[in-house]
Amino acid sequence: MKCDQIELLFPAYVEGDLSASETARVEDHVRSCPVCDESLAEYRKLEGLLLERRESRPPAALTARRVVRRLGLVRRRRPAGVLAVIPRMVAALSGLPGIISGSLIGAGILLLFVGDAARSSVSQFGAEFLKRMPVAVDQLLLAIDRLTRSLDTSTGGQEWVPLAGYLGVFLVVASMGSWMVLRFVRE
Amino acid sequence: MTGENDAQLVAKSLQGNEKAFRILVETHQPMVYAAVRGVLGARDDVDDVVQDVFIKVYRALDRFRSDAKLSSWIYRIAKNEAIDAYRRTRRGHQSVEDMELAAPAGARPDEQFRREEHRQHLEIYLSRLDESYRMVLEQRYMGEKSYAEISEIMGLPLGTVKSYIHRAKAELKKMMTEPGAGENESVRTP
Repeated sequence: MKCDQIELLFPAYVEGDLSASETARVEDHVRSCPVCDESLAEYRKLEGLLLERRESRPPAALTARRVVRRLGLVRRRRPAGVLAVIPRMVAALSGLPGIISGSLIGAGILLLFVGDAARSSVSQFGAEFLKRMPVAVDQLLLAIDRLTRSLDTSTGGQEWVPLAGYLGVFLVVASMGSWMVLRFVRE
Repeated sequence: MTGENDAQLVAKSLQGNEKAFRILVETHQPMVYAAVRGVLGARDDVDDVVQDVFIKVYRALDRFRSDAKLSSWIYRIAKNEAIDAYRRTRRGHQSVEDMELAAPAGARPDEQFRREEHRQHLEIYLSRLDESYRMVLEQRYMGEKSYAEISEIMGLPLGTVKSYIHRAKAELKKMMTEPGAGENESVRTP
């Protein structure tokens, strides 16, 4: 075969796309022809450069991430298992039920430990207010006073009874509130 | 979700399944990148145009007919988007034709410098190739596609694909060994 005919086979040869007989013919020829050998080396160099160009292509996963972000398809990932419950519980307890139950506990503890002083100061404060404030406030103060006195009488001075009552109210309010907030968070 | 066919990926993507669309993008990214690169060359906005292609694909998914081949449908969108980008910005962007073959910034070892120079030359030679040759060659090397896949994506007979690739390489080799060759045949005009 002549050199120009052999050279036509080089592009396919470097890709390994020739039949066994054509491959043998090319190899026989270049062994005895320095010009064609040099030409084949050029094709090999070109093949290497064409393959190297792939390095400039960004990773497909990176393109996918950017496209998904641009389309706004990215969803917030939530932790799985036990970890998934923690943020929801925090959200539930830090809301309105947390504030209500916290206030109830605080008021309960205050009345238990400074009960007498609180009662007397409330009474004094109430008496002072009776002269100046409207009837509604007067009635409210009287109700608080009666409640604390009746609690004292009915429990025979046992402090754990009002504490248990407060805790019960706290648990009911906290669980109902948490349930409502959890439903909201889940949606 | 691996192993799902194109029709399943399209159906799930249409339902807003992010993972399905990610897989679709990852599968076809090399082909789209090759198509855009074939039109625009080594411009610095190629990545952006590739992303634009997939955004168009997502928005047009409901118009994709399941009896068509997804890769060739995406290829057409990619080529059109690249041509639009070429027309929009041809005056504002650096093209391969404008690329200076100056030494890259920073001191480099001789061998690395030579390779970089060869790569830059190759980009210029590619831009001088006939568009049909270049598009096929990009799918073969940048898109990592087989002859049969290129034939399917571009709608060309298998023999034509082989012949284009071999002729493209012969022309590139000629330009490499005879630097003046092909200089007046710049055809990056989609």
